[in-house]
Amino acid sequence: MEKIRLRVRPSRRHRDVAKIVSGLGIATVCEEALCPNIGECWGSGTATFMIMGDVCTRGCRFCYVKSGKPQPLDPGEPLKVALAVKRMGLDYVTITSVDRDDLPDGGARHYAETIRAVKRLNPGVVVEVLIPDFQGSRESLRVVVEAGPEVVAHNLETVKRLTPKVRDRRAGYEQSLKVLETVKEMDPGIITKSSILLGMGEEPWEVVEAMRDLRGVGVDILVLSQYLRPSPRHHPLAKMYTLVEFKSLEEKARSLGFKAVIAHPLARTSYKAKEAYMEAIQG
Amino acid sequence: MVTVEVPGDLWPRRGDWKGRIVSIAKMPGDRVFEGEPVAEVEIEKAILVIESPVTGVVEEVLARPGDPVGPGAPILRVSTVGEDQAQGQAKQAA
Repeated sequence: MEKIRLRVRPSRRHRDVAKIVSGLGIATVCEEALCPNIGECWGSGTATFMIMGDVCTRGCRFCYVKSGKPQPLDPGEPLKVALAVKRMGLDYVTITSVDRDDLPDGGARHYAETIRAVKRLNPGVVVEVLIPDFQGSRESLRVVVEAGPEVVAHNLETVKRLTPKVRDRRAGYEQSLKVLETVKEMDPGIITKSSILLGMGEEPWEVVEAMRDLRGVGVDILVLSQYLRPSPRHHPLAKMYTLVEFKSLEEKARSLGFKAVIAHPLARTSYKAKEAYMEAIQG
Repeated sequence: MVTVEVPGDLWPRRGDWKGRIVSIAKMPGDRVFEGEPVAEVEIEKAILVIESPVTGVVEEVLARPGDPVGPGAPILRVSTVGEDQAQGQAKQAA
């Protein structure tokens, strides 16, 4: 299968972003997941912050983020992220995290503190969080929702049949749908969002089923993207989708009622996040 | 003299990724321009097209197709001696 070609020559702005995040000692998913869009995003001065360390308690078989025993939480991290947002001059910030099944609340309070710190130091900023499932805990979800993020994303990642194969055993298709449904139920004003990675062995009808299921729990923004195996030890790549196939799936998704759809081989959950949000709130 | 490398600061916190050289587009004595693709490196996720950060003349090729490489691996040595003068002359001629 033909691999995607990426022109790589870190720009001055790319290096500026690197200085800000490394200077503050914060992680980004752009780096930890070897995101192919890092040149484009960092080159335009934006990044997706990854809080609660760079070691995940889960081991999904599509993900390059390190898995194992995580570090203790850094209580100064919310302020560091807020400072990074200020130094980068962002008006739209995307924050994600590793999963922290070792913490009683899954890290929900840390999320809430980060959201509040970012908003306090950057008045008017729009905050999008890409959250774990918190093992389905309503209480943890409430803590995050009450901190007031404008967008809450949680990824379905793949179709129902492949979920046990590619996601960690503690994740679940139904559980992820429930997370998205609960967030919407707690605050209907929040824009919800989810991503599906394509190319892990799913059938076309299964993708449509997953899209219907996401719409069924009120998800507003859908991201469809190409799975790129990060290393030979990860889940094998089954198919590279063409741009025409992405376009066709985007049309299908729009016909199902999503307010915004980002469908592209290199799309990732936070890719063109502000554009998707603007479209969703205007739609 | 400038060494063209596989970018070590593309994903700054991850220095553990590996790839292999697929092709090198230049030989010693070739002119190379800033931003011109000079090599391709295959990693598991993609093919990275490496661009020259400078204009000059290739002095030495430091890697071969098939070589395993990682962030910061050297690919070419490029002489930039006389480039300022050459660019000045080109501007005058224009």
